[in-house]
Amino acid sequence: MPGKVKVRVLAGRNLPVMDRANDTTDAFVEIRLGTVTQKTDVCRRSLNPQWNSDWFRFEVQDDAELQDEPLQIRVMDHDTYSAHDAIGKVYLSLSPLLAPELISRADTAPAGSAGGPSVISGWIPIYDTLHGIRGEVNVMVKVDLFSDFNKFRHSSCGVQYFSSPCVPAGHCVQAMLGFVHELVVNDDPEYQWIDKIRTPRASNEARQTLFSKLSGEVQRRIGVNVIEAGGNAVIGYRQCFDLEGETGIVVRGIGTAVSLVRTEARPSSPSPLSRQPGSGRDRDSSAVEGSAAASAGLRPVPSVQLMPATPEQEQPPATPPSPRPFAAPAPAASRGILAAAHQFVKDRLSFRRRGSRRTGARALSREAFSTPNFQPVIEAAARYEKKARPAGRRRRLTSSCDGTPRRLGSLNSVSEAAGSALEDGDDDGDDSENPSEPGEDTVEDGDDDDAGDAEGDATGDDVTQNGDDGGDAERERPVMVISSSEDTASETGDEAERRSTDIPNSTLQLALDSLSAHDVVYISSMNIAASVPAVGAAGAPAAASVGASAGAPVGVPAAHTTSVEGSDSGDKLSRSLENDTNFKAPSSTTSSGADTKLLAQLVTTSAQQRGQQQDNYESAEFPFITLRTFPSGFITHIGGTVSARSVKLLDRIHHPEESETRDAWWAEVRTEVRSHCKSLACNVVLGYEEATTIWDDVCVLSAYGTAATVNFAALGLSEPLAAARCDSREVRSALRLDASLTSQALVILEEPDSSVSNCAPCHLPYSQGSAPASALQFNCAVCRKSKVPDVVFSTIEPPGGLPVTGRGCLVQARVCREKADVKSEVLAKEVSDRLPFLEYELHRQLLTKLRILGMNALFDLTIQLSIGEEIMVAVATATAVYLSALPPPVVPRVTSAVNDSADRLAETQRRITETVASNREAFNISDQDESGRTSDEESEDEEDKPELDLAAGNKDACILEMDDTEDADLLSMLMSRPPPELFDLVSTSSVPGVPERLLLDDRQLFTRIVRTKLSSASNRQLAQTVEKIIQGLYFKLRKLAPCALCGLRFSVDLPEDDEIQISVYGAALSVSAPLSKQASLRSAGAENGSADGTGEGPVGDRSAGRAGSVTGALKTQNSLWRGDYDVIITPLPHVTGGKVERWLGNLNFFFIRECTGLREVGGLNGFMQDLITEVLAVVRAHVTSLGGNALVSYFMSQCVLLPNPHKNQAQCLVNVGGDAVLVGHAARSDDG
Amino acid sequence: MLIPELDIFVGNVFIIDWEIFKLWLDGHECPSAASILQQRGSLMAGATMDMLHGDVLDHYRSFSTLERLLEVPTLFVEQRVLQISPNDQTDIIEKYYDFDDAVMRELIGKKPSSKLRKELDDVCEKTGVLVRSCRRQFDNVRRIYKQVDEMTGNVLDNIRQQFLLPDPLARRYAAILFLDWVRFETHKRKLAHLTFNDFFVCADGLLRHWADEECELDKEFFQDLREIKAILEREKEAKTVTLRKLEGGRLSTDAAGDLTQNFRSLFRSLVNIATGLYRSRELKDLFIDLQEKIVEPCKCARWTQSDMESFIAAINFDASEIETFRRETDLPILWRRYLRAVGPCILQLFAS
Repeated sequence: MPGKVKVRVLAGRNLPVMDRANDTTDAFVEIRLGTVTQKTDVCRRSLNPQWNSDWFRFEVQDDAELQDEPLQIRVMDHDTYSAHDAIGKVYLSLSPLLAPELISRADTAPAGSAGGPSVISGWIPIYDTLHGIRGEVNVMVKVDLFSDFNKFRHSSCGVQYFSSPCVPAGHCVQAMLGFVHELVVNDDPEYQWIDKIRTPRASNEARQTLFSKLSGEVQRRIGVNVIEAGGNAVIGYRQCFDLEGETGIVVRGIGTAVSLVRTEARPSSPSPLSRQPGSGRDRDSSAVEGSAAASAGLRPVPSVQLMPATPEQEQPPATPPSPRPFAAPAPAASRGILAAAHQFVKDRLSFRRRGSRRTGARALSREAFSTPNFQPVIEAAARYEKKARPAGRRRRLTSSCDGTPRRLGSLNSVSEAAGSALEDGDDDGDDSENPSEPGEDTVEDGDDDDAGDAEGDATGDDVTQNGDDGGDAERERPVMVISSSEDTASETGDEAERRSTDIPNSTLQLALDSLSAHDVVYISSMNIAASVPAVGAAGAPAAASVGASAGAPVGVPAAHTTSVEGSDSGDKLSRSLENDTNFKAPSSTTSSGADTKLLAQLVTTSAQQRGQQQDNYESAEFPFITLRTFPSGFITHIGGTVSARSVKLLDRIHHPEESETRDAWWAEVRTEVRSHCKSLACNVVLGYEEATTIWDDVCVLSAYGTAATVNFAALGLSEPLAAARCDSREVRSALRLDASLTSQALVILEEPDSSVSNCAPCHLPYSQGSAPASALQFNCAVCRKSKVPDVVFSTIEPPGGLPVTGRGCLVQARVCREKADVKSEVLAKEVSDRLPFLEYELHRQLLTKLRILGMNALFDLTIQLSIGEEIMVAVATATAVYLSALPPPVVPRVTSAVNDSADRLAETQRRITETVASNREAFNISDQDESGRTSDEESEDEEDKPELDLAAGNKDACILEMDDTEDADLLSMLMSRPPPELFDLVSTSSVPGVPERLLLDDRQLFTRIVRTKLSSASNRQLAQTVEKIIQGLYFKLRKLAPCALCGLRFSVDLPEDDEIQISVYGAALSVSAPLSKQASLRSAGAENGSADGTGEGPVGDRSAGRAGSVTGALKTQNSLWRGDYDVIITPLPHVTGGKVERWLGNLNFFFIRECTGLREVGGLNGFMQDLITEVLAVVRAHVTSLGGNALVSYFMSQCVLLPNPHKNQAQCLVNVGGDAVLVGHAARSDDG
Repeated sequence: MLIPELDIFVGNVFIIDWEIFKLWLDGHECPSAASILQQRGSLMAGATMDMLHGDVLDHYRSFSTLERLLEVPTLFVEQRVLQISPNDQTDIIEKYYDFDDAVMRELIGKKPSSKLRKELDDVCEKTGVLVRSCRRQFDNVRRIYKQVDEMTGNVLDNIRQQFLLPDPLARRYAAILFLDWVRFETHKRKLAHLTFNDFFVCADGLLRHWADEECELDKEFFQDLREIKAILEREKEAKTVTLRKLEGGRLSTDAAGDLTQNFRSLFRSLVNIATGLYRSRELKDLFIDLQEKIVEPCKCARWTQSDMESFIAAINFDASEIETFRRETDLPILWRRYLRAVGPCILQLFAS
């Protein structure tokens, strides 16, 4: 789209004196967009010039230019005889002016008033890389776009970006379109020879301008993908600058593409069920990939069978209108297969999927099984890494031995019908057939031809692979079988009986159980359940679907993964994940995508646009979601944290296509994450993050997230329009959100019995029987029906409505390791050799600390890895929570191989026990716990646990070895002090277990940066350093107490050999009284637990009233609503005590600041303090110029400080940003 | 303990710690401020001395940023580098521009020159106020002096507008500037016991009654005052009237006795001071003259404060009371205007 940019420069103020002779400045302004530069007149002899210019117009052919290029406003001092001197610059990103209107237009309705800014206007600080802020300039900028009907032009105008990792308040997601990512590579001007002869200012500005452009380009490219996928916004958008040094700079962006509408504009929509009709399209896609076949098998879920209607509908696969029954099943199947194939990461089984050879045998090492719970994926990853790593580069897969196929001889009755069918199929040699057969033959009517085909293909592949693997295949089949056929019906019946409510899962599980008797490990089959509902929904009218779901034991729609293990496989564990190939198959298939689409259609009446997209055949390559906060009901199960790392050597490449190399690197890592996710029987990765760590020419790519199963319909549930559809990145690829999701959603719809569904996210996504024998599983303490793990690790915020006991608190693991000071390839090897140990240790620390805190779950986990000359450091930060559904943690036990230390041992044990007890009290856990116990009939479980652990020698779980003094030190380090009474400390956006209303006001964003010597590379020293920084926070904020420090983010760098730089920022929220003392807390917690999304029950309200009145008095003195005159900046995605009324655009700045008189500005401290202060000031001014009064989801990254005290110089780079918003003061009277 | 090479803490909102701000204003170096705070028990449990020290350093750094901005309070209010609530802004300006009377006592009546700035060590020694604080106070005076000196118009308003000071503080500055401009003698030994406030009260009175809004003394008035001399011819009458007015035990016995004896000398002194004011030399000596010729004799005679008050009130003749005044109708006006300013001065000096 061509467009016109209009700029007025009104005035300047407080300019620096540039002409020493007469203490004034002759200022003028250059405005530059792209290659065009225009100037104002010179305003002579004034430090407060008034230009009052006319509108400067810039005509731009292509809106891409508007997105890539920041508008540069440069203030200069006119000099008659020599070159003009630069005073400073302002970079204005025009993107906030490009996007918002479109969104509001889409809604037609009241959007006008609520749309984004139409003008940027206001005083903006003039920034100079050598002097910092030098006065301000008052400008006004407008953009006029001419709409253009040329469809071939790739424009991404109109896409809105949100850093916020949640659905922006006031909006609802119509469709979730998938993970989007882009990166661009460029030379870094700082490292080009030409810069050696440039002035520092020129060099810095060249960099700043370049960074700004690259950032715009990445955004624009992502925007193109989003538009192609039919979306209009990216949420959870994150951008990173990798400063690779000599090899250049990489700017990466990731996010979640969605189609967003403003809530006000949303049409009143009937329940999702009602819209089933249009969803036929995707099935092709589903059919396409073999996965479908598998799904078919899965489908068998009871519901399907129950519903006769569904099958029919399904049948008309070809017909567009018909719902795509298959698709749903397909994905599931594929998933199952994958899962099976991958097995648990831990197991590191090797498996080779369809790759050239179909031997898909995956051998599971028994060891793998021994791992207690699946959650600690990290650990798994760590191990994984160890093995894999050796090469220094990412090693992926390959190795392993697949070899031992084991067979499940006994498929048992479970599979019986189905199983047999499958087996037959296998035997037949037609892989595809197996699944398909059952499907078709059996009741499959539902699965139409398409299904059949699809299945055939898909399954064929998958199955084949499996089958090929050897006899082994058999075991897998069972799973499939189970799911698929009509038999299922019968099975279901059985299941129902046996199993508790879980239904679909149960079937599988049953099967598994039987299998397990033998050698079976697990097979993943999930979705079954899911598929069912989906199908039902699609095909049948709502009622039908309902019925279906109802028929099924509604309970928990979790998908289960079962993996079968060959008995033999034992010794070898090869874990090889077949990477790409394997995945591709599934991904390409899209079956899942189809499902999602289905859902979407079902749900969204107004899904017109989406329609075409659903035709996309490509399934999502990466089912990742970068959000961290989800509406309640969205997450059906949390599988655990999955992560992958890859060590790469940066070598110089001179082609611009270089980005492809980087793309490939990331694709590998993502693929691995995805495979981990699959092996946890999960279908999406939530709270997904990517990071790089660079040292010298070695770069470690890290990606991690939380594997989960989700229910896309819930997006709409909370705000009625829902759509579920996931596309893959650039495109069209639909994601593999499983049908299961859908089904679950439906279930939920039907049964708003929140108290039951509340605890669902805690439940294991795979069946109980599928877990290795030693894995700990317990009955859910809330619903008592499903199985839960003993701990949960996740990177997301606690899902809404999840029952929490007591309050959450920050937990941090810090690991420091020495490493050899080597270069290049040797370094790469060194790093990859060390990483696994680092990760293992990290996990162990987290787990132990968690137990000592008396809690059982981690949320909002972030992991920071840093490499220095001689050490490596990893810091994991998370918020520990006691989930009511999970069993109480075991008090860690101390053991020692040294005999004479018995006393000490006893003493230590006593201390640990005391610490645990006092922590429980401090976080209000104890009481609840008791009551929980007394009422818990299954308390034997808990009692069992310690023994079990001991027996299993499960050190990670709860045993600490104390063999020498170092261990003892470690122990004391693990028992870090809880925060003082007046403070609460969490990394999440609110304090888990504490109702929002107790958090009054966003008082302060604080940033602390410490750089200090690390005298020894010991964990202890590192821990002390970090603890000291945290203690320092309490002290620094003592005058704001009582308060809750939320959204804490740490970053750790090792800039010099023995130096460490730690930055932390967060929001200090005022509370009316220390949370530890709040009388209403307990009831609040309970209310949280029971009330699901419904908020406060009457009981809660009453107690709230009490709290409120206490609060009221304090509030008047304590709570300052400052919105009138200042700009709130907060790392949280919302403004506590306020309500976001308008979203005004995403801001992202890269600042470079250099100082040639370090001593004169007060040394490093003075330099950095000024810098951060000024950076915040610039950010605030931009927010104000957009008409906002707050910046939410603030981030600060890449704070790179390069001091050179000997030359009295320093340089610092910092990247900050967030979402500009207009916040209204929420009336708080309601809580008093 | 190792001191970190870098340790900063920055908030989005500038929340000022008034306690530390005060210590900073008082000129404490960081370590001494930290130890004072420690003595006051500012350390919470678990906090260490380096935390306190670091905290003070953080604040001090931001105060020095503040200080640059505070040189021009109007810009300070407009600036958005530090986000400070309007109330705090006002308070910060007020506290920054506030001063110690003891220090200001040393500075008044002298031109705020660089030479004077170098002598601040003496001031510090004399007053016990730390040199840094003295310097700040001096610089504030000099800045206001310089800026307001160049401006026309109402001095008080100028101070208020240019420096955004609250009225009472602006008034004090106006008095300081006035004392400086006129170069009143304030440092003679005999005046050494007077405080800044004494001079402020005096100067404020003079400003109100004798000067225009630009703090220019009314020279014409001084010229006219010379005619007041005529009243001396009617000294007896004045005495009679005065004594009559003071009858009925309005004076203590000491004062009453002294007054009957020494009325002439007191009255003459008062009139002479008035008639000499047109000479700038004598104007500068106004305070010392009042002190020597009025206050001290009366003190010797053991007058009380209320004696003095009554006396001043009594000699504030109106036109009907003295023959001369009835003749020359502008004389009583001059006389009363003269006394309106000088009266309070005498009382203030007497009280000290």
